[in-house]
Amino acid sequence: MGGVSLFIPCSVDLLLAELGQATVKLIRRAGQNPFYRPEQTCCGHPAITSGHTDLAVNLAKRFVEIFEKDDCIVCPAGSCVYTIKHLYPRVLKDEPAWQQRARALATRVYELSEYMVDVLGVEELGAVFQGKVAYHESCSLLRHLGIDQQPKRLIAGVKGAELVPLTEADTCCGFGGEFSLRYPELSGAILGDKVQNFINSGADVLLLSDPGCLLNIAGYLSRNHPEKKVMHLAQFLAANLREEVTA
Amino acid sequence: MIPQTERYREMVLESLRNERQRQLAGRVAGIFKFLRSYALQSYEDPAQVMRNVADTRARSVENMPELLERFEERAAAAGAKVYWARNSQEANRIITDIVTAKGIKLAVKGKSMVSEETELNHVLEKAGVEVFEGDLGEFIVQQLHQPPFHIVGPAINLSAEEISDLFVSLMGIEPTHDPVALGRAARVYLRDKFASAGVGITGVNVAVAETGSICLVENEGNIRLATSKPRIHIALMSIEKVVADIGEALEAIGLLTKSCTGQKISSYVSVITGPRKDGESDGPDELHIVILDNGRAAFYQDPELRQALRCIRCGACLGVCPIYTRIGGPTYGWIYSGPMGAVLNPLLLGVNRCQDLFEACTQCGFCQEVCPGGIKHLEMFNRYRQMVIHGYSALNVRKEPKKGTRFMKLFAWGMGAAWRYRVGAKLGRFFLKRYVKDGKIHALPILKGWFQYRDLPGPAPYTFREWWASQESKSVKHSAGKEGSVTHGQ
Repeated sequence: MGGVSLFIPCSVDLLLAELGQATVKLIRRAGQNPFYRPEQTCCGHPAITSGHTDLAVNLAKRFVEIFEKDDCIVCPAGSCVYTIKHLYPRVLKDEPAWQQRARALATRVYELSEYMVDVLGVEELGAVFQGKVAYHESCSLLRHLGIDQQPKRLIAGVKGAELVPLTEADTCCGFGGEFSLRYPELSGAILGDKVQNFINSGADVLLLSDPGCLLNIAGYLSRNHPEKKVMHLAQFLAANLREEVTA
Repeated sequence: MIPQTERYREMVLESLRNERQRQLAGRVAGIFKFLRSYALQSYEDPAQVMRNVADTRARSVENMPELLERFEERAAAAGAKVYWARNSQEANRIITDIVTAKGIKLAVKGKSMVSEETELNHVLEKAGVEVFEGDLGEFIVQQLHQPPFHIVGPAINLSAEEISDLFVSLMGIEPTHDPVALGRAARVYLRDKFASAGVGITGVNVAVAETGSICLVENEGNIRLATSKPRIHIALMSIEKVVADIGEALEAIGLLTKSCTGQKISSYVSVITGPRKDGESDGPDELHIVILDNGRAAFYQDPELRQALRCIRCGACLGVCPIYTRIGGPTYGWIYSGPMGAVLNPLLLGVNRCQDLFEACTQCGFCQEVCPGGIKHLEMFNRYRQMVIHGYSALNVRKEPKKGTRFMKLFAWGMGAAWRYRVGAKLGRFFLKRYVKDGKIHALPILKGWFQYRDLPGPAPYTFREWWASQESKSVKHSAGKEGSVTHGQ
């Protein structure tokens, strides 16, 4: 079939289109041909994690049907990749045939930085940024998918960018989906600490790899520190690509 | 302590307001976290040891019924008396009977979570037995009638000033804020209790089926003293403490102390096999071991839920939990706190009354990464959530309407077809656009919790799929077209 099948999660489609565009731009810059299946909707993550697993069965099957013909599926959201790879087999546990199909599909689904570094072996995309960056280790990548080095390699591949240490980089930003709505004070307390650590790091921009953390931290910065900047790694790389490269 | 897990929400607000406690919880957690990772480096291959112990825990729980029988047989052969207690009342009655039959009026204790689970101190005191906790932190919270702040460091939230005030009134010492002087005062005070106590009561960290031994881990020597000075030693253990042999026990203890206090090994590890035998100089005349079920067998039948029994009470999950580190132990409303409490309490107290414990989770998964027992906390929490939504008669879980279920049904239906998604997206974006101010949304009539602390970005002028469709049709029309911000040279 060839090409790279894009899975652009609903949150990105609806609120963060530019993150989807950045994903496309990076994949093309790496010399690959992305394509997009418009039948795709949501992976069902919110339904599954809130305990409405039964409601997600159809969404999981739907996802498998749409994507299982593709050789390589790439997504810029750690939590959605986690859902497909690790939660679908549980959601489909009563239907072994479907579970098997989901497991088979899971081996071909990649988080964007994982795809770049591990699959393509690309670490330098030709981005330039004069300044300091900090990296927040989104839980979905670090702990649920075991992706820790790949985003940092891509950052190291940005000319001029200095990665500065971030205190408690590996602790949660307090989002947790439904959690942020049900326990706003707790979520806000965790988030406030995360942002304080970012400010203390002295970085010009905070990078991360999950749209959940992005909406959470960006929403807090917008309210309290509008001069501070947080970006998805893909957006950061895409925005700082030098337009002309000689291969 | 009387469970008050239902008060979680209001207690969260109280603890978040307590700035000092919040900072302390965070700082203490940071220290434990650092010490743990440092201590783990003393293993050649820490990940391998974690896997070994998790496997051992899983196997021990699988084989628990046989292991317990063998343990009972071997412990009895070594001269211990073994009792089975179905619940707290039975365990407390067995222990109170042993103590009062001998006319004992004074008991010393080693810190034991399971004795807090049964509220043993309270029952003994009602039977006219004076009880002193021998662990310094536990002694302090006992005297203050407070719940432990941390399962391993019960009084870690208290300042030297507060402890000085307590000791002044309890022991008549001169006020001092010197921790060493305070420790010495407690030592003098408690030494007297150890000397005259008729019974020492402890928990059990690990029970060894092969030898009938019990293993106890501590730093202060109070357990060593409580198990050797009084003529009678009573050990209370829950059923999941048993492992097959001493090798498994020692490997688990090695990881326990590293996970717990970040020590390569604790100052004391006692392995006790029966009471003092003829010709031995140390140990009590009688060793009584009480094995407690207290609701564990009820969920043991469920292969997923029984993983809760793999917990070795190290507290590593507390130190890394973004929730625990903001609110501390007492907020959880019962003796077991943090992620391990959120796993255990629903099974021991009832799922319905502990809902906030497993709902208030960001699903970051840090707890399961550090858990020596290999517990998958997130799977457990998800299972509890499902139980509340659908009801679960095997554990008497009541079906309860969950806020958001109706929305979730609509959401799942809407996401079930691309055309419904597109229509929903149009409506949703139309709705959102009415609230955009300076490119941001600052409030909506829904999602109030979100807007309490954050804004949302105003939706982009197009969705990703709209953009994709437009650039695709353009690139069909002008096959070498250059559009938008994307450089595309194919």
